[in-house]
Amino acid sequence: MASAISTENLSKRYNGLPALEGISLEIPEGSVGLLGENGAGKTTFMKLLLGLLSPTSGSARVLGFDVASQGLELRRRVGYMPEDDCLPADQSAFDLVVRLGRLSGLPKEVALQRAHDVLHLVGLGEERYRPIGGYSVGMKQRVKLAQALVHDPKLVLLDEPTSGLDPQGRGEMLDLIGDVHKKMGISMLLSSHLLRDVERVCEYVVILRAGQVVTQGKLSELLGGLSEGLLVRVVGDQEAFVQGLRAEGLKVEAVGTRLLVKADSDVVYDVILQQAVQTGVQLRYLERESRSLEELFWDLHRQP
Amino acid sequence: MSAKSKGVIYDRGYRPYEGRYLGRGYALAGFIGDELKRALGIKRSWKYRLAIILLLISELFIFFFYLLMSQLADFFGAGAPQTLLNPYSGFYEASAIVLLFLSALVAPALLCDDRRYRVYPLYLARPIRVYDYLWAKAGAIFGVLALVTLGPALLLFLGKTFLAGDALEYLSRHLRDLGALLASGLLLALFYTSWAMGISSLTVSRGYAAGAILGLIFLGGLLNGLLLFALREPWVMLLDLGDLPLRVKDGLFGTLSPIELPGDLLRIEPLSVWAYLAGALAVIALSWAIVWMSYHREMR
Repeated sequence: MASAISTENLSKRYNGLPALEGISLEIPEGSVGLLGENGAGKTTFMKLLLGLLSPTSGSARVLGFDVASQGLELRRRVGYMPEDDCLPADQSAFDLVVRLGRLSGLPKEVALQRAHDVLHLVGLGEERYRPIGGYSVGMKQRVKLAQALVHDPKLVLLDEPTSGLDPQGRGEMLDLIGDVHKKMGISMLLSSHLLRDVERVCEYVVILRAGQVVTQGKLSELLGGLSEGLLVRVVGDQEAFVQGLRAEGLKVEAVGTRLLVKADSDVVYDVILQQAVQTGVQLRYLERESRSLEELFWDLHRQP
Repeated sequence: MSAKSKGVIYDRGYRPYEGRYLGRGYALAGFIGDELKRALGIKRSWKYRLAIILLLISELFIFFFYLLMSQLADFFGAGAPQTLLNPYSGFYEASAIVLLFLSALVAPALLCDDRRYRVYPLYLARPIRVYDYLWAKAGAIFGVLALVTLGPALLLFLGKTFLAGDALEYLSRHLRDLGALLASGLLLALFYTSWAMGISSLTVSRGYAAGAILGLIFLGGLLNGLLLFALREPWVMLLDLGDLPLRVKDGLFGTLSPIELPGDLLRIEPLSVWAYLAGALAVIALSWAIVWMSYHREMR
């Protein structure tokens, strides 16, 4: 997988206080989550990637462009959705998105057309001519997403996009964000302190703590790597099935209505299938046990 | 099947852009154009538009007043007052108050709102630099102010030229006036652009900014008047900030005259035009230093 973002020993200090320290990363294209508590350095990291802040030391490349010397070129290809409320109250969403599209280099007619399209896409088709000051928080977040997409970027940086939204609005925003990579083919870096948001839409995750990278990797590998076995649910003579597995030397314990079979190799799958046939039970569920991102996060958080 | 089938698009989806991206110059020109339209009241509140319209009408009134008076002065010949025979200096003198109010309306509207709503992360995430943003704002404010100073003044000059018996003869006799007219108009527009931007960059409130832009100029004028009376020193005239570009303008038109009150109450000879120019340039430089420091701090 090609690298969308690469940093080498990237550090940023504000008045001597470290915000980021020695970040060295290779972030692939795709949907990537940047996870960390408030103050972990997520926004600083994003601003460094956009070239809006100068690093104290180290270097970074985004889509192959050096952020220090090629900021203009990279910002033409990157969209940014800031966390803060940053929309002018007296302008309409349409005017704002057209203006920002033109600033990104779109010809006027194209900017007009694409502003209509992206505002429609984010669900602001009817309201796009109204002044933004009258919008709800959810609508404002949609405007911010639309302006980040209007110039057809190759990568979007989304800083806490669900911030301030109610559960329904959050779900709708996450659906939209999920489409950014899946349907639009645009890579994204989603910063959030909400583990479930990242878990829902990202394939890759980087976890920051106090300005340092705690871990990074494919979400499936990070979570799967912690698995302790297989979760199995059967219909039929469960007792006979369990005894059969134990007779094969496997450790089995009940977890609610399911069974947790300790697995140290892929041979376990064959043993389970064989025992299901022998004991005549129906195998209704079989999946590698995975821990939630929240469990992973707190495990890492507890580490010194 | 007899009915014709109709295609209906339910979801336009996302369409990638495969065309050409235009350069930074184009983006900035578009940005300045947008800001210019907003400064002139397009897509703004009716109160703002009303204020702009009233100021433009005032300027138009001044324009016609000087056009009419100068034609009357031509009719009466050399005996008419000098300010009416050469109406350009007088036109700028009268326009200065309109310029001041216009700058106090336009600059806070373009600068304070962006700061209040913290809009610039959106702008700076585009392929422009910090100073591009400021140039665009300055270009729009300067454009509006130059439009109401240079525009009518040039029109006045053209009107006088074509109304003269011999247009070419008038043009050749008043070529120096044309130079003074252009230089004075540009200086006035630049002075008020810089002054209004400097003040507006210090606050997020349009009201405070407008109040300070007007108030400091009026206060300077009042202080100048009182100190002139008390000290009778010509350098005190440099405290009247709003008067600095106008005295430069007088120097350019050759109409720099002493300050005097009737009945020999007060008579103070003017300073050199260079002193006024240095004062005006110092105000412009200081204003830009304030703008730069304010934005440099906020955008980092």
